[in-house]
Amino acid sequence: MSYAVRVRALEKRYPRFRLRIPALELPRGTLLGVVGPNGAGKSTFLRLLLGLIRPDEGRIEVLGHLYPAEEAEARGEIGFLSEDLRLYESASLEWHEQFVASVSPTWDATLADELAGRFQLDRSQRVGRLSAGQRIKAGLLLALARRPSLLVLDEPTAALDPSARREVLAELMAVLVDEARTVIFSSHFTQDVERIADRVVFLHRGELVAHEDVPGLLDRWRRIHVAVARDWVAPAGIRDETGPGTRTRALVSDSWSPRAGSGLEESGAITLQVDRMSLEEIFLACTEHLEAEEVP
Amino acid sequence: MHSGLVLSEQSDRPLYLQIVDQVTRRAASGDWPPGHELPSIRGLAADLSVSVITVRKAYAELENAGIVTTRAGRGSFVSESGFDLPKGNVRNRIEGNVREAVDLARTLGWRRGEFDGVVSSNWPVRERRNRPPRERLTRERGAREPSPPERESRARRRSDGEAP
Repeated sequence: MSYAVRVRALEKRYPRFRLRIPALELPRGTLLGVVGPNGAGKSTFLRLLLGLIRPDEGRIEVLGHLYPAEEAEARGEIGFLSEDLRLYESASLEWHEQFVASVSPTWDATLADELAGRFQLDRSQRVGRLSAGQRIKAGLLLALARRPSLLVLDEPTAALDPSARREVLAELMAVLVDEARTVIFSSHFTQDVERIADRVVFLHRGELVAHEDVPGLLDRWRRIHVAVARDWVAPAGIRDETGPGTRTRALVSDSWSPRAGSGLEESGAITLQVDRMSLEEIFLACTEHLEAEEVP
Repeated sequence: MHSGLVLSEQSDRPLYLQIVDQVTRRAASGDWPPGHELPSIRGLAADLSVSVITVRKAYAELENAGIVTTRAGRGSFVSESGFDLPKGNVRNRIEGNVREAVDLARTLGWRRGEFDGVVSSNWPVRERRNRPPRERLTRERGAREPSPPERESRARRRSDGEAP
């Protein structure tokens, strides 16, 4: 299998923060969502992959290029779009295109024309006058027309209203159609990730909490409402969110199956309701659990 | 490219199963006849703004159920026997759901009558069951749209008249 990203024993330390990724491999052609609250280490992780900062420990390989020796080669094949797009407010999109083209041997002017048409961008207008949605699309055009093998987007939809957000996501999906292009995007909008990402990485306080296929993750987590005796204790593998002493409890299972269901009934619980969980609920369930363990 | 499939974000059914449901319905209703080519996986993912892996999972499920056949390098098609299979499939699913509901009702100590009451309150009686919806549609439109034999004879008349 060909990998877009391979990371091993990665560690980046700051005075009050540490990011640790024991291992992560991402096949080419995947869309990876990086999820976590502010300060979880999302941007640090992306900047390590872009070669903008160096790790204290560990190994990074991007598009077959081993860091730090081959950072420059990798960067030539990566398109990057950050929330705070570094654009010159007084210059036009056209000017930016010429600038990027002059430093990118892979610049595709035909694709740039096509994207400008599809995004309905006025290329002669000063960038400072574009709406938030148009700015993101302008940034997307500049990143995509270089025909990158890996597209990295840091919170691409954070500043957008719902309809612009949906439009940008749709465009993002559209450009992925023909190519085995890899996309990594961070977001605190778990709905976006749940819908368009093939895989997800959960980051929490600098730790990698989960790295998994999105449908697989959604398939195995359930919240179950049960009626039980007051002294009932949840069987192994099922977390009791309500706690002992009550007749009705809310439970969480991270490995739900018909068998887990009958096991629950055999333990004396009457199943009232079984709900699927959203990615956000799963993230919270994963991390609440961690915080509970941290308490001495 | 527009598949015409529409996914609900708030549905209890996961996205991939919504795709399975809707493709199955298209195949069962004949909207997508046997041999009809399905959109490519990446194409449908882009069209619906869902992940590639979601569509891949849906197509694998459809293939397992025999509704769709994938030919390597050529794409996915509605199976030739696609019309019968979904019926059995749908029946299995209904039976499965009913069994689950009955189990739960019995676990909670319901009586048979209580359960039947829930079923009938969810099944509106106004519906006329003997007439398929399509036929009803043509009857309503009947005034404007000529029936097939009529149309044919009119066409014949016209071509007769235009003949030199």
